[in-house]
Amino acid sequence: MLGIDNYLHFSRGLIYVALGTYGIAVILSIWGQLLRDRRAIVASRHAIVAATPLLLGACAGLMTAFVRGEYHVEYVFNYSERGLPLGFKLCGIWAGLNGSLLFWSALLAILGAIVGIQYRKEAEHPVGRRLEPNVYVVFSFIQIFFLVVIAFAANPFWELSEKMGAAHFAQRFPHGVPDGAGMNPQLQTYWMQIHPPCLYIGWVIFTIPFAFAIASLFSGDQGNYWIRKVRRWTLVGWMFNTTGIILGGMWAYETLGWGGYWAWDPVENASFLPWFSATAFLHSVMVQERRGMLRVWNVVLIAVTFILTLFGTYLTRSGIVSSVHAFASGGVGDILFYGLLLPVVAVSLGAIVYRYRDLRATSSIDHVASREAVFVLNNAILLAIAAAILILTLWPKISNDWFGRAITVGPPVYNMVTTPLFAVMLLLTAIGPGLGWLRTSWRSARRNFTGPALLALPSAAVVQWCVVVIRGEHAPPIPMTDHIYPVGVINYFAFFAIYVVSWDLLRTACQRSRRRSEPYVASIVMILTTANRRYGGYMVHAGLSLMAIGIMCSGVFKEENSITFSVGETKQWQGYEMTIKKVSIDSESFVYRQEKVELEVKSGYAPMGAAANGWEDTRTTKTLFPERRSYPATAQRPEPQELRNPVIWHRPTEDFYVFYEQVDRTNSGKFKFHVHRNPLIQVVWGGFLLMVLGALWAALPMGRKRRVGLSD
Amino acid sequence: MKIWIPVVIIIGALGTLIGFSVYSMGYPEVQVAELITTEGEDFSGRLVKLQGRIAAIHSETGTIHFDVSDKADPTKIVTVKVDGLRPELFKVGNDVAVDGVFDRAQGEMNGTKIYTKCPSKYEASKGEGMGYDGTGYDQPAAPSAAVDAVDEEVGKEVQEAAPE
Repeated sequence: MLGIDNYLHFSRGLIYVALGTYGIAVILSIWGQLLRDRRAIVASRHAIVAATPLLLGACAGLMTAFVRGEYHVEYVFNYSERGLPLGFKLCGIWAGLNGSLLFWSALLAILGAIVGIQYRKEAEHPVGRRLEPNVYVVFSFIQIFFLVVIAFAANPFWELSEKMGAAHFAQRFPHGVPDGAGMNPQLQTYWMQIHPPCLYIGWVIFTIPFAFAIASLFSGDQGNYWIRKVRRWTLVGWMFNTTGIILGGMWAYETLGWGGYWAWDPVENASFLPWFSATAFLHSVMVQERRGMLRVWNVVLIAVTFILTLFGTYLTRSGIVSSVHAFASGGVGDILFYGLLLPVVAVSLGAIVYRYRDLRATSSIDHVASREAVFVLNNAILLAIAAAILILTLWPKISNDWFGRAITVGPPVYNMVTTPLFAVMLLLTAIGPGLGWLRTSWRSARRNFTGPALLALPSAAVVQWCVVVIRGEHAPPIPMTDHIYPVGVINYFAFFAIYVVSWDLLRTACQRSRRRSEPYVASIVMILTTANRRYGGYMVHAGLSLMAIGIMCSGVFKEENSITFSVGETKQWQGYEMTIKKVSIDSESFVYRQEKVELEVKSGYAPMGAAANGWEDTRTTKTLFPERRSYPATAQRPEPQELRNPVIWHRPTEDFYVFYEQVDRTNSGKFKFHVHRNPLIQVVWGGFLLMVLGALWAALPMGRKRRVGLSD
Repeated sequence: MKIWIPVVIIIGALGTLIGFSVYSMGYPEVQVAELITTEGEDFSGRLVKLQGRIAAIHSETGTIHFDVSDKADPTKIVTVKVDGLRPELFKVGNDVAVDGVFDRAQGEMNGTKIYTKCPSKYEASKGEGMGYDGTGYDQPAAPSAAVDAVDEEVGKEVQEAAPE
């Protein structure tokens, strides 16, 4: 029978076999192309599909090691322990560098298999046939790089004894390894189960468009074939990237206790950068499809998106900038930089320069009042934001290397630089859908924009007035300049964008309803279904605009304060009344000691003399349980750890956010809390949901089918 | 050719915006030795990001009061006061960065924000003492006696405060 040790060795061996399989795929693809041997290319496709179960098997082996608690495996030892719930044990696979690389590679293998299976159906397309071997070569080379790193530089199956040396291991663990060091308490949240995989999936998917783009350059087929092949891949990757970014923000909001969701941390920024170039591509791809323009630009955008995902991975692993996510400086960062990032930049640049003449546009922008002109401008703004964030992220490093002194730039600098750019982006988001291709007449523009532009003004004013009402009369005043910029301007553009797309849908439905004599609602449903790509995109626009409104209102109008009081005491702050009912200590968990405060929060103040007159208390009440968990030091984890999670009262118009700071020793027996009011933060999450639904809707294979013709 | 005009305008505007923002709101990172020395550039009275290691914690409630030592020369120490939240992993021996203004007359830094090592990083760093760090298991992190004492004290207070 296969023992667990043999099974782990077998799983480790699968990585080497997969590496060899991708090597064979490369050789077969090149062979097939050089000798025009179709059988070799098909065999290469089979090799890529066959490598997938190998890598999934390796992942299954690592998961088994986590579930069974095989702590003699170094990676399992570092990220798991016996007391860890099963769900978090399985998360161990992406909790550290070595496992996350294997996870990345397995995801990439699945995508490669999907591409291979799709090609079986389209093998007769002449352009597809020419592209196919080149796609496999690019894809397999990327996969080979990751597998070489996993096999020889960051193997998750390395044994502790192998890393420490047998003698040292025997001295340190004479009776075997009893338990693991455990996962950091802050990672033990359900966000850990969904945020990293979402981000990984998004980033990994961007590899496929890159493989197609470079393959099209290699093969010299610069038609629209590759564009149509990669559009949906990019959209799905974009959807996962967006989801991953926002889930990361939600994680920070719900667990870190500072009351915000975005701190402009370098690694957060790195996850954001490919989003801009992918968004730009999703717009410019339409210009190439419709007008045959921006062909060089589209290849550049796809290459930049992939390069930025690699750069983000490099930033996390290299330690070139200080970040809350990446403090370590590991050797893998250098391997990634010199082994993949630089070659990818060089190959992309070389291929684009080589094919530059063939990629020249077949038409040009006819008029500035056209959709393609706005898309070009929108692309420029998106890349300008990405460039600004990249420069600011690297500024401590740049300033240190160039000027001899590292200069730190905090959130105020990022906000100051990006807010006007985001405002322009929102304005273009509003204008783009209202303009036609080639040229828009003055009459058409007036019809599309007048209503939305007029409606947006009172809407933005009403929202700001609502926030002022929600904050109440006791809240500190916000300067009038802030009301105008950024809040007023951003909210106006956001409402403008929402009304433009809503107006478009309603008017089109009205026309269809009249023309076909069908119910109005049926027309809306039919339009949404048949033109899902267009209206899915409009949903994304509306979602983005809603998020912008939420970010402005919750960011500028938020309030926070520290409050110290003791058990039984009641404190009032900004329309809330808080009473500590009791404090309990739970030492029953063998993993941690829990100190739990029962905090009763009431919305609004009781009228004078209410208690004396025996009036009924009709205020909305919520009991919150802020807590502090202490994880004791163990033999494997020499330092004790502490975890304090915030608690949030989600209300329709705002969040009441409480973070248990500590017991105040200067006022014995008093507890200190940091409290926040975040108005309209739900709008941020609502906008995010709409964005993801829109992207999903646009990616669904329904609506009018436009088959890839032979002329492509 | 026309396309270059907006491109140049955008790049120019972006450069100006970044330059102005960084110039007006960026602040230098300094080591403890650079901050307290009277030679060379004087960082007293300016907003800086101090980099160093937590040498001792005097008080961590109300106002957090602690010593930061230079990473290269642990004998060089500056006292820091921060009125705010005690962050996670705020322990003796851990690396720390503090935003604040150094008052040479008082010999103290008035901090506004503390940054400690990552609680959610994806890779254990060398010498952190959590798990295998690639240099052997016999190198635990610096003892955190002060923190343990605080924890014990806090525990007592909680028990006293909690009604039974």
